[in-house]
Amino acid sequence: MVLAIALITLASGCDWREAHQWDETERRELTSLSLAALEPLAANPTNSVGDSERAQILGHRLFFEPRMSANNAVSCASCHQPERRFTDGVEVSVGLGLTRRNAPSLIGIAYSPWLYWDGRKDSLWSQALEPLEAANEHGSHRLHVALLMYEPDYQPAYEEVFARLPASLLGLKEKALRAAPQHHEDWAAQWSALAPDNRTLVNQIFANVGKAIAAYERLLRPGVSRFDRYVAAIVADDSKLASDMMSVKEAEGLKTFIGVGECTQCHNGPLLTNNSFHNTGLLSVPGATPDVGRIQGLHELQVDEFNCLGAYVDSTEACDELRFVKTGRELLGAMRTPSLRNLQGTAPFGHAGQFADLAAVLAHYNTALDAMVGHNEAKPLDLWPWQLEQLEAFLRTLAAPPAVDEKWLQNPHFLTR
Amino acid sequence: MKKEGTRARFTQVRTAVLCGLLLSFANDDIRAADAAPGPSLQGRGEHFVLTIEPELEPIKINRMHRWRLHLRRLDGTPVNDAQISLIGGMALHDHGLPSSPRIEPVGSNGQYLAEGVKFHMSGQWQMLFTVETVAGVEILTVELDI
Repeated sequence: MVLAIALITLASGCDWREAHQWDETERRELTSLSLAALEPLAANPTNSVGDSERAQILGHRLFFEPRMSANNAVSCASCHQPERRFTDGVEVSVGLGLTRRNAPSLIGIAYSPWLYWDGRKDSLWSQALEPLEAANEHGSHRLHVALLMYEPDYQPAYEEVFARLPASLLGLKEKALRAAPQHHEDWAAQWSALAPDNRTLVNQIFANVGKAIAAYERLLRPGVSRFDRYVAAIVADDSKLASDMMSVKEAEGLKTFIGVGECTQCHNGPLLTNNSFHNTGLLSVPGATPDVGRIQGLHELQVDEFNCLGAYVDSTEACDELRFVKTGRELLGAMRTPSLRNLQGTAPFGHAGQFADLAAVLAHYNTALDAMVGHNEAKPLDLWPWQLEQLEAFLRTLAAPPAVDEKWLQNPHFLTR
Repeated sequence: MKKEGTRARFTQVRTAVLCGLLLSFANDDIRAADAAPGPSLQGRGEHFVLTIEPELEPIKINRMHRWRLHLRRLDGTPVNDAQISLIGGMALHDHGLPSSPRIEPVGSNGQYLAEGVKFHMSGQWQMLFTVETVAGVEILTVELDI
């Protein structure tokens, strides 16, 4: 009996030691994935107010502002809910109508050069503009958004951050126009009827609204997770703390993650994403046309008047990602690699919420069937069921609340209305 | 090992030569010296020597950066009139570079600048430099371990 207990103890001890032992190469890889390796968020020269506190406060209000929508009920926070790590818990988001994509978390998104699953936007601020006019999201138009800044509860805050609002647009308020260049035939006609100078002014205010929202979103940084504490313990050779931070099962999953799973090919760096585009054969929604992904997103990006080389940027000095953007057929069916730092409570997963849970995601990559469109870059993982369970257990250790003051997670309008 | 931040190593240069209107074709394996200790990477073809100096040293994944290139003939004469294009990819993963680098001449001493270079994965990358001159075309395939 004593011998049996000793053998069991020895065996578990061996498991423990093996699971938490990492060679120098592995330690470097772990360190590269740790939040400690995350560099300070670089300024975005296209948005000169990106780190302004006043812009953050204004952007916070705008992010939660339902009056920018056609029915006064939809805001950015409708689909990017702080209590769900800025996702919405449904397969595809619902605004005024049903969208075709799953809402990604916004935590750490400021580090990505590309926004949306297909990367059709190249800055946080230009991304923030599109939902406002999308018929199935806010369903609004840019003239309405611009004129909202003339309301008494917005004008002082707006003018503190940006320039004085031009009086020339005030006359449009009484006309009850609906003006936007896209999405709606009547609105496009009214947009074309505006004087060119007024169109430029509206676009400038509209862009500034996006820039304020972006200033707020830049605050949404990832928090230190159990995984990060584990890596710190490993680097410090504190085996006791390491074993407190991560179970044997989770550590085995981590070994698979950086080892035979080759997950770090795409999910690399401290945010566990290369922010690039890959076709991994994600299935389309049943009954829907296969999503062509990046190849369409690239086209939209290049003709977007609010892109990095457009007229509404504060500087074009940091537009190399757009200048040297990848093109070609390889982008067919490719989607942006998502961060893995916000998986807890953010199901379903995939660009159309195809996967109900993490197990379903891993099952997909374990078989890696041919893509319906384009070419599947992923090779089958061929992992054992218990390895998949370990991998899933590890992925859950990456979760952490965002490293942001609680006040930024609250709806500021509850206090003022 | 294929690790982030690992010095890019110029491990092999295969040279395919097409002179004029594809007058000849050659495929040659040339072992280039490892980059250490200096930052330069160098490849030698049948007609040209291409020296590559990444401005980001060591090369890191997910970071767009520039490469300074120096092109000369085997006798050391600088080549100023070449058009150089660059494509790259990972054979193991069936994909190309995550960007579209462009190369332009700078100055008059055989110097060129490659802008928009980026890698998004660790591992073996193949970089194909197509060097076009009035005398012909030479394609250098450079393998990098990032």
